Amino acid sequence: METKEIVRNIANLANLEYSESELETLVPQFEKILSYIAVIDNLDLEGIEPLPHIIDELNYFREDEPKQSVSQTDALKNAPKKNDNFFKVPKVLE
Amino acid sequence: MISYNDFLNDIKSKKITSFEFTSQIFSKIKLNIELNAFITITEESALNQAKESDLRFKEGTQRPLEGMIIAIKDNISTKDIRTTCASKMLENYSPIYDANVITRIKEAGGIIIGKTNMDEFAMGSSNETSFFGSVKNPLNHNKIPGGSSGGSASAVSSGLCHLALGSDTGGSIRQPASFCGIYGYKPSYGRISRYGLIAFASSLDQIGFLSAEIDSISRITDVLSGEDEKDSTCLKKPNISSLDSLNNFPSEFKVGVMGKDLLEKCNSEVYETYCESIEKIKALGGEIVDVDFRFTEAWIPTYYILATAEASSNLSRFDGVRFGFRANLSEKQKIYKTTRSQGFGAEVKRRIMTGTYVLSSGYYDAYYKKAQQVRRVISDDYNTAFSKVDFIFIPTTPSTAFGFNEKSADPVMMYLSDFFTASANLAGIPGINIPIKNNSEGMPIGMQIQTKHLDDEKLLMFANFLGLKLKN
Repeated sequence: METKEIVRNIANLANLEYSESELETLVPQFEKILSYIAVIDNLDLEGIEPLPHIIDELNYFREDEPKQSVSQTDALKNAPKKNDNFFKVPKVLE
Repeated sequence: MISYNDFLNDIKSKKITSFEFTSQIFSKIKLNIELNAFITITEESALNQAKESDLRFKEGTQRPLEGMIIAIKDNISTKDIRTTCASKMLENYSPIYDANVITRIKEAGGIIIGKTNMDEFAMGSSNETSFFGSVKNPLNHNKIPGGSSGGSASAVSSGLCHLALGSDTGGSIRQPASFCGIYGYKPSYGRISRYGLIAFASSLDQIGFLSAEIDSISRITDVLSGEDEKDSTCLKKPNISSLDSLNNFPSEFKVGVMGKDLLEKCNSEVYETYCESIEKIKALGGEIVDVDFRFTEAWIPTYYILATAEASSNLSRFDGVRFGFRANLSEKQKIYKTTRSQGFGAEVKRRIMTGTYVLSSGYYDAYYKKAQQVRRVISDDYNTAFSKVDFIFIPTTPSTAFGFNEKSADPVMMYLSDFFTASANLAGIPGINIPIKNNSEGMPIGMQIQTKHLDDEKLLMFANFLGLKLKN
């Protein structure tokens, strides 16, 4: 696949969109980044266990008791559009 | 630059009050407005806190950070104070809670004076990606301050605060500290709660500190470290306790150095300063030991694969629905795509794209899995190194601060300025920049000390030691 097609496809997956003129700048940059990170593909890493995270203990457990949760007022405080009790979004069904 | 110890002495001798001192700070911030170091200042609440500090100084009930002037990077949540990540996406976002570090600063009597400028979502090495404009290096206004904690570094270096909070994902505290001639410390991963830090790459991000004095860094580290039930990656360990051992200097110690081929990435003035420093370390009783690292050519690619992968996931929450920016939509425009395309800047979008690519079907094994394997190798190599040496001593950055627009057109060039710092994040170990000297143009050169994961007390002691002994 051509890089431009890959970029269009990835942008779609990432919920981003680029204009044709933006793609003219991005595509060569993206090519450069991909060829730079491709270094990793040539390494012999046979048998090495992947390390996803350096901390082993990853959970805090607590008693299952109800605690104060975020109030509706606070939850809606930063909403770009809202009415009394809801986040408002554009109509999604035709 | 200003000293918290001097401030405490002036309080003791009644030369000044906390209120007067804090007021002077705000006058100075206004005089230095062209640095663009701050996105938001919080004068009223700071002056109220200063009044309380004065009361406590008078009553003798002062807390560990009483009256300390502190600036906060704008990706750390502050309740009811807007927290923008220097992005259009969060231009008017006002958190409904404080980050754990903010709660602790308030309880300890620290005075928060405002939110500092940064690269958008902490993605950058020059502070040029901020929606609120670039920050200037106080030592030369034609140079960048470094990034992504550029506003924090600029504020400390120009004497606008005793200390600033930053975050370090691949060098974002240490590199700007080096460019601005101050200390910049990234603690061990898992020692300081990230609750309320707006995530870039969760397995690499760490809150840390920038200051002209190691002593202030030590004080705040002791207060802000330790467990937090709201951050599952924050270790269940007591606070770091570094202040009492800050002057326990060693007479014998082993320092690891990297091969010459890696140091060749530095320009000549950084390399020469490094060699001079090594000679001085020998004279101080240090034994120099060569340490080996494999796959160093893959360090930065590994960092970018993992950091962008995590970022693409973390930044998916910015969708224009619940908080933050929403684009004005025409009939046919889609809310997610239009909002995200207008709300994020070019570098953030590039990194989301890279991250989405390396995680996408067909590429996962070639990139993401391999990067995690290299991460294991880096971590193992550091463990092997620290079984032989107490510290590793390397430059912080390959060059001194560069000019505006010098690297911004070439993302890969920009990424390479993280070469000496990103490996510490991948291995989770602590690292610190110590200012050494200025070059012939007056721009600072810094060196970095790294040590074993969780040996933060030892790192701060040694930084205090070398900071005193290596300075010209």
